[in-house]
Amino acid sequence: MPQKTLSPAIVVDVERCLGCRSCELACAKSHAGIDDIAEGIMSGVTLVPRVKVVEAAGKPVPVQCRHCESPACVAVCPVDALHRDEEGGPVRLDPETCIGCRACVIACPYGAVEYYEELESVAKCDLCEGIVRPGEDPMCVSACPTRALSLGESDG
Amino acid sequence: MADEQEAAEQKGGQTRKLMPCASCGRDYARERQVQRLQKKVAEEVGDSVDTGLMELCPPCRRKRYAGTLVAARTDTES
Repeated sequence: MPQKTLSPAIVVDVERCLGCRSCELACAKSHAGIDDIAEGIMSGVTLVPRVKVVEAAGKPVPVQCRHCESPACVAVCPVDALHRDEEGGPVRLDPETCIGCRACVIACPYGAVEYYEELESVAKCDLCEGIVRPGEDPMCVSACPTRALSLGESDG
Repeated sequence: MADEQEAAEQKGGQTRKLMPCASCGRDYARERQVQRLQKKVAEEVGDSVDTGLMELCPPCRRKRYAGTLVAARTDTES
């Protein structure tokens, strides 16, 4: 039986967040494969942020997938489009396998999975796997001007 | 009855009752689908997930989680 490791996840310091939404923008741009937001909009690229800044008690708080220890989204996915390695690690999504049933959207206790018609799939934080090099910070972390976001361990 | 009809979509002759969010009241899924998924999560994941949260729409769940982060920070400070 492989040793389970704690899942990596983005950790938020709510005191530092200004609500500038740089994280949303960096996430949407990097996943769309564009550098310039205006160019992306003009060319009709689908911009989907996997992190959402919401307001709670008057404070802005970025919320994204917690990469839970026992992920409800994985439990309900009928086609295993959402999965995680046996030894732990992030909850991964295979958008090609996703059938758009939205069971994961309903099951996620954090509201961190969303369905997008344009993508014909759900989308969620993937910790920028395949976008940044292993060991590098995800784009939202790098983009945060106040270091309110960091790569840490899951609390889910 | 009128409310019932408003909160339901007709498909294939069957009434599919929609689930209103327990917080904001917005319909976000079919009631039976939510109930089925609550049961499935309870069976597969156990009590590590509060299935009652599925009675909130995803935006309200995000707000709730954000609220817990803010509250945790406030508790630490006091």
